[in-house]
Amino acid sequence: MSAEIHMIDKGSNACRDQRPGGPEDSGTDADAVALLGRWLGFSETQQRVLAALASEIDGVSELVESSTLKIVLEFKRLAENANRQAGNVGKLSASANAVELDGETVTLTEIIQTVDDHLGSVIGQILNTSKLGVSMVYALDDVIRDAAKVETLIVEIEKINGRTNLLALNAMIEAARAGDAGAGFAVVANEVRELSAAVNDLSGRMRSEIRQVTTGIRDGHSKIQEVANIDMSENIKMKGKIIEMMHCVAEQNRLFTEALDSSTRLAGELEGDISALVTTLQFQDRTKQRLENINDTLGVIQHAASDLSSYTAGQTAQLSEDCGADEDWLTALIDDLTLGEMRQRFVRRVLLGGQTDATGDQLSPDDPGSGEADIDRENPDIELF
Amino acid sequence: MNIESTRDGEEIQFRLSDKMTFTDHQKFRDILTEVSESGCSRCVIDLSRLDFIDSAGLGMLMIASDASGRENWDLLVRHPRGVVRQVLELADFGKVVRLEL
Repeated sequence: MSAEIHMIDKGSNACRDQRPGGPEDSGTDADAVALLGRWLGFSETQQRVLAALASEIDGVSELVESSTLKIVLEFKRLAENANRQAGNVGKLSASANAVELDGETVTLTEIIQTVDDHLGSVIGQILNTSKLGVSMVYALDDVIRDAAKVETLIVEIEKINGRTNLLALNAMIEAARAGDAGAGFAVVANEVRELSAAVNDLSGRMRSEIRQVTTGIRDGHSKIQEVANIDMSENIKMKGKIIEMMHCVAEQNRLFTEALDSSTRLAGELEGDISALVTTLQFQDRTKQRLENINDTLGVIQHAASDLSSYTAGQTAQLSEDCGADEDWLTALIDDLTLGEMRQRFVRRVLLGGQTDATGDQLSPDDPGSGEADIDRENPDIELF
Repeated sequence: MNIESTRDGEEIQFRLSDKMTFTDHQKFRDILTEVSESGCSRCVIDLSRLDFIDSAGLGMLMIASDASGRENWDLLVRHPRGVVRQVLELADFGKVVRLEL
């Protein structure tokens, strides 16, 4: 309060000093004119402030617009990248489940099935070989049995032969007893004995041949044993293990594919999210609108103030045209307010210098203001009439 | 391998125990001969006491299956245990003979 009263006194003096020479008015008229002068000066300040504020608002609007644009571009790039990544992942996912073989696509499941089938077929062949082996043994056993029969028959031959020999011997004895009459008979008997000896010889050879056959066959037994006697327990373990490993591979592959598919899905969602973000940034349009509305309003006030000031000055002869603002009063007002340092600098510059720094948040302490769009805004370009 | 055989009407049973390998081929042949001569229409081979079987053993069972078809009797192999069961499963033996697990 005290500051204001003090200022009124100073103000009235300042404007009275500017009056062109003239007869001394009565106290009240002079005071009123002085006061009017102060108001005109203040109006001047207000107009400058309005202009500066409008320019500041423009700056804000541009900042929001350009920043928003940048953000949108970045988001679009993000979306493109997400898309490309999803594409790559999709390719990975497709290739994870299959391999290219001789120009054909073979899935992992088919591979496992092929291995399983092949192992099964190999084992089947082992079994078959063993079965044939045992069958062969049985067939050979039959041969041995037949050989034994033959041997029996040979024994029969030998028995008969023995009796034949005996008979021939008897015949020779009888022939000797018959003397000359039995001479021819003796010769025949002799021939028979010789034949019998030959048969004996033959049957002996047949026996030894049969024996050799039998021995050979028994040797064959042991060879076949090597072929047919296969311990399958290793095979069991290995087949089981191989199949298990292949199933592990398939399972891991499935998890891998799941992860890839999830990644693709997320990338798709990311794109959606980014679209939503971009839509949200459309607030910038409404912001721009509202800021323009504010500026329009400021412009009107500024114009009205300017009009009234000119008119008042024209109507009041005792006033000089240029009643400037009372800077000391304004400075004291500002100092009285509790503002942060940056805000205080801003307010001081607008009120006293009629300027703002167009970049807004980079005020330097002693910079009188080097913003771009401010001084041009002395007169608003928004016409209402 | 050891063999116990029992006869029950039309069915003849053989219980095999211990190990079944190539050296048992004659014994097994005797089983087949016994089945043929008995005139039974069913033969059951029980493996519950069998500890081990190799490929020759499997071959013999396959031969038995062939014989059953030729001579018109039914063959059933049942109750394989442990490694023997694993081998039969590995070899997909259920497709070769009538198998009861």
